[in-house]
Amino acid sequence: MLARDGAVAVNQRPPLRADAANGTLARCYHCDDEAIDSALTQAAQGAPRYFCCPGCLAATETIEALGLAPYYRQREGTASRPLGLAERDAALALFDDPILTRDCVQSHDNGERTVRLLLEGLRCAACAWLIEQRLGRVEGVVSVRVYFAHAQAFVRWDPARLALPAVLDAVWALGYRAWPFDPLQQQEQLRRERVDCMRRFGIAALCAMQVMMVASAFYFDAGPLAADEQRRWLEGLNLLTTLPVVLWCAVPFYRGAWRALRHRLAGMDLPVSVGILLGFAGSLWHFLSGVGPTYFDSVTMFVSLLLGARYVDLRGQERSAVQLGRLHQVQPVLVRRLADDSNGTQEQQVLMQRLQPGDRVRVLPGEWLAVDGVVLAGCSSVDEHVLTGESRPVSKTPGARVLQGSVNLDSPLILQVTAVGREAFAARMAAAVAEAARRRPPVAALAARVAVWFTGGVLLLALATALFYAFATHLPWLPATVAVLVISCPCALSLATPAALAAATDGLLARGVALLRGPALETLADVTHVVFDKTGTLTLGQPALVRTVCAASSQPLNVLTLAAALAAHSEHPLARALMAAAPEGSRPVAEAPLATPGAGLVATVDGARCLLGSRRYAQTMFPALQLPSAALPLQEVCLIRNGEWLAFFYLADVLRPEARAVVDTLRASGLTLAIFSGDRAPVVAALGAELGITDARAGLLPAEKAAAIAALQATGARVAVVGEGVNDAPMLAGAAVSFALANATEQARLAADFSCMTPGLAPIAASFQLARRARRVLWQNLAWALGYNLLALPLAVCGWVQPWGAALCMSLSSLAVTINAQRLRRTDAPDRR
Amino acid sequence: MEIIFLLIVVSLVLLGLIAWGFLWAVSAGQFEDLEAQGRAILMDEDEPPP
Repeated sequence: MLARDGAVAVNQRPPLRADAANGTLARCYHCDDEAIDSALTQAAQGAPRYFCCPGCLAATETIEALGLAPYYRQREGTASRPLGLAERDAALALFDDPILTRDCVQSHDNGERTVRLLLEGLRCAACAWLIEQRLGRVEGVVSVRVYFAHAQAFVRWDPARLALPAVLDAVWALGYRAWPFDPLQQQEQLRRERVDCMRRFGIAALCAMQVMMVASAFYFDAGPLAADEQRRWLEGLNLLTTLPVVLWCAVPFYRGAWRALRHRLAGMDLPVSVGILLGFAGSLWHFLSGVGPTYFDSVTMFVSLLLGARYVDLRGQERSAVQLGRLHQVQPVLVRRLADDSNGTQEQQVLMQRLQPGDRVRVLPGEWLAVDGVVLAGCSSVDEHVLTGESRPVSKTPGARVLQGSVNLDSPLILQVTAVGREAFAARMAAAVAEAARRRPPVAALAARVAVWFTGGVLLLALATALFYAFATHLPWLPATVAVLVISCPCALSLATPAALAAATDGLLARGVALLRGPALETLADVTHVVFDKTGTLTLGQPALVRTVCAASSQPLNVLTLAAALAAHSEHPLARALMAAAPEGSRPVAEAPLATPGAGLVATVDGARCLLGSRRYAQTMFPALQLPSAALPLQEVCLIRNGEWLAFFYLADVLRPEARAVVDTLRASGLTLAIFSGDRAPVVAALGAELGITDARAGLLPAEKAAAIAALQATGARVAVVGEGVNDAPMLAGAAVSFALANATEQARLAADFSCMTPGLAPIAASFQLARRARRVLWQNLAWALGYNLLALPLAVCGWVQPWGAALCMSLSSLAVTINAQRLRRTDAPDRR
Repeated sequence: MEIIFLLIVVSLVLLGLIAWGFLWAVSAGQFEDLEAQGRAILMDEDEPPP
């Protein structure tokens, strides 16, 4: 099994050669890199053009041969260097296997197929144009649409004339990358919802304009136009144009209101529906009876404003989903399958999707396990931290079970496959996630709760007004009653929330956090407890050098440089950690390395025989050597030169650099913090002590984590969970609010409300700040909406409000809450508590 | 007075036409990518393939 993204080397440019002889450097016409090879100079229209590599030259020739040269004048950034033909072939040939792309490719009746591609390397709209034109001219491509905003393309092609790799290659040859891509279902559904909302919004806005055009004539009603006959005809026209708005455009609100009623939930849709229907019914009654004003203008404008807010909200959610969808591109994963034939056992590289339970596969050290299985042969240790939270490698001997997603560290393993793909470990986790999600506390949005009281109050007030006019005065009761309903129309109230949430969603995206479930943002502001996973969340999830113990004769820096020289020959995580810890600069070269996978290696450096490896390995190689006892209970690497020990390196999974600052910020804002980890107790306790978190629980299984969250929430706590591993998924699903970090596994992402795209914990602190600001804006908006109603309702009760006044008040208050919400989009806002 | 009947009919017909055009544009995906279309105008292919 190759490393997950190991199929293609991405953009590895050769080191630039200093060419100071003539002072100026030729730049590549296509990618603007340094052009060194004079053989690639092209004389075009007078001035010679230079190219850095044959790939760029070929890309430019292709572009110009197709008449697409305007690209070079319009582009706003330089292109990426395309890979050579052989590299592209190697990377793309695997896409010929339909099993790899079955979820991304849609077949049509006439045999043609459509694939959705995710594009990398788009810099400006000119790039999108170039790709669209290029693909459109490939023989066998039926149609192409490139969406710059989402960096996606839809290509419909005829498989009889063209293979999928050739479609991809047309894009790759220009220096971009295209991956077949399986969008999240969520994204598809959001897109459909948004398009539906756009239709309803457009029609409602059109009708509102038409109604307003006629109604505004009545606002300044004077003289001849007031002739009753004309007025009735024009009001009839308004009634006709209001009908589609009330009967079709506003249907989503009625549906939401019905759902809310059936499930006895508070919701904004209920007061909205009541407002629309009563406003319309009252106006209809006035029109038919010929007494009193009509409010068709207010009703249509109300519906179109609300649909507009809903549209903005859906677009924000879709944009978040698209950002996340980028993680779902399909890249081939190869595994080494073992098969017996007459010549003995043969090893064959096949796509992961081709494996069946019962197959045997070989996994080399450093490779990622693509399947669940049982060890048949080989002894090794594997890193399972994303699955269990265990930060130390776990040793595996024949008969042991291994899980998809872990990494083999030490030596080759031969496995019998027990489950592949969606049937693997993740599937069992999905059941636990669903179970935990059922116990998730219900979200009671603030605005919705206010709205229910508000609606009840308004309906009572309307009833009181009607009774008062009917029995205590000789005036008609209907006009004032309808005025009360229309003017109190909870427009500002119902815009207050979506406008603020949509702006906050955009603000979050700018901070690198995608919000996947709308109400989570409101809940986040009410959180009392934050629970962190340990391994990979508070810590980096990979070893780092903690301490070096040197022999009396050696210098810490020298031994580290020497160790890095040896470690350069190993893929082991400990070796990589040592290389990362070593100072930059020139290193001695280790020659003739002889490695024992998982134990260590021996090599010659400057004529001296050196060893880097575990204590046991050192004692096997030098039985006579006296080694000091371990200084720390951590993972240990020892360095030996010419039969004498030089140093011991101690490595451990360390805190993220920003963890302390984030934890302190959260604690300072009054949150109670806890750690729920699957790792061993001493490690978790030490980390808890280091961060000042007393509630640090260790050794929890995934279901136990979720149960602990549920128990905490049963005491009234509102819990936010931060995690990344497969084992965190149930607890993420069960919490009131949850975050998946940028390094999270797919299971964790799908279970979480917020998904970080910026690495590290910093986005968590930023999200809490933004959620609190959003709640402040929400309160301001609600206060404004209620204050406006307190002021306007008495006027309406007294029967002093004209239709034009009602329409104007409604628009102005809606505008005020929308503009106030826009403040949340700013990313440079001061942080106030 | 009679002119008002004509006005009402004309308004309704116009409104219907515009609404139909809008619904068509949404279904045809005209609103899916608002940036690329503006750019495409500038990209006139004034250099025909040789």
